[in-house]
Amino acid sequence: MMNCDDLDRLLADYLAGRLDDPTAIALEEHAGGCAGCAERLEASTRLPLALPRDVAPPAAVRQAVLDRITASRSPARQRRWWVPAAIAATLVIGFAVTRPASKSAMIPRSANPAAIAASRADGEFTRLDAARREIEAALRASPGDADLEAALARLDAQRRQLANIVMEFES
Amino acid sequence: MSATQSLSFQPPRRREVPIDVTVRRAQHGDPDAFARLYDAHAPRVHAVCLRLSGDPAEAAELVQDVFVRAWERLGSYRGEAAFGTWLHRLAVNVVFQRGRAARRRRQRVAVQADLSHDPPPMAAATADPALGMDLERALAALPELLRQVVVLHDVEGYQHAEIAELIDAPVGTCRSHLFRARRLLREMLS
Repeated sequence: MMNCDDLDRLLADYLAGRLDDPTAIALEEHAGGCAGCAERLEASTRLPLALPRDVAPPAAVRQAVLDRITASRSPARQRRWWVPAAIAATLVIGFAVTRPASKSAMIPRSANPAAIAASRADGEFTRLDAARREIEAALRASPGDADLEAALARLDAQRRQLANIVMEFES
Repeated sequence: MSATQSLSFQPPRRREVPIDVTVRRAQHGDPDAFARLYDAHAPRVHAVCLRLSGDPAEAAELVQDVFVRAWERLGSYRGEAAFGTWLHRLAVNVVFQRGRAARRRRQRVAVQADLSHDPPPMAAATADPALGMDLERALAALPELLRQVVVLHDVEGYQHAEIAELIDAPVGTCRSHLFRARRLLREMLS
C-alpha cells in the first residue's frame, strides 16, 4: 500500500514515465484517495487538451432526426392530449419505486420523485432505442417485411407513450 | 478624430431569430424551429458523443438519440440553464445510459466481460506510427471508462463528483482513472 512519502519519492519517475505499470497504478490509486496527493498529481499531469468544440456530424444524421421527430407528435400536442396520463405516470412511478432496484440504480429516499421517474424512463428510452436499431437492421436485410414494420410502429407508439407520460409528469 | 470618423461603417447584419424564440417555437411543435436548433447545436453534441464513445458510427447514432430525446422532452425545458447546456447534459446522460444498457446486455448473455479496464487497442491506435498519433486518435484508443473520465474532466470541465455519479463509482476511483488516462495519453502522444 503506497503512502504520501512513497508518492513524494516516486513522483519524478512517474512524471518521466519511468515507473512500471503496477507501481504507476498503485501511485494513482493512492492519489485517488488522498486529497493532498491528488491535488499535486492533478496539477503536474495536466495535459493541454485543446480540441475543437464542434465536430459536424454526418449530413445523413440531420434527415434521420427530422424523419423521426416528424413521425412523432409534437411536444405541444403531447401536452394537450395527455393530461390524463399524469395518473398513469403516478402508477408507473409507484411501480418503479417499489420494484427491487439494482445496485447501480439505487436512489436515495429523499430524491425527487420526478427525478426518479426521469431516471427510470431514461433507461427505458435507451432500451427502446436499441430495439429500434435492431428492427431497422432486420428491415434493411428484409425490406418491406410486414411483421418488422408493424413491430417498428408498435415500438414507436410505446416510445411516444412513455415520452408523453414523462413530459406530463415533469410539467 | 471626429465622432463621425470614429464610427466605421457596419454592413447590415442578417437578422437572426434569437435562440429562446426558436426553442419556444420548437416547444410548440414547429419542426422547422427544431431543425434550426439541430443546426445550431448538432456539432457540439456530436463532438461530445464522438469523444465519449470513441466510435464515429456509434456517435452518429447517439446524436440521433439525443435529438429525438430532446424533442420528446422539450416541454420540460424551462430555460433555467442555457438550451445548449441543457442539451449537453442530455447528451452526456444518453451516452452513459446507452453504455450501461450495453454492459447489462453483455452481462446477460455472458459472452464477454466488461472490457473497460483492458489495455487500450494499441494496434489500431498506432496504425501509422510515421505520422504519429493526434490527440483525437489517442483519446479514441483509451479504454472506454478512462476515455470518458478524461474527456468529461479535462475537455468538458466536469467536476469529479459529477463524473463519479455518472460512472457509478467513488470520487477516489474517478481521480485515479483520470491520472491513469492522462498517463496513457502521454505515453501514446510521446
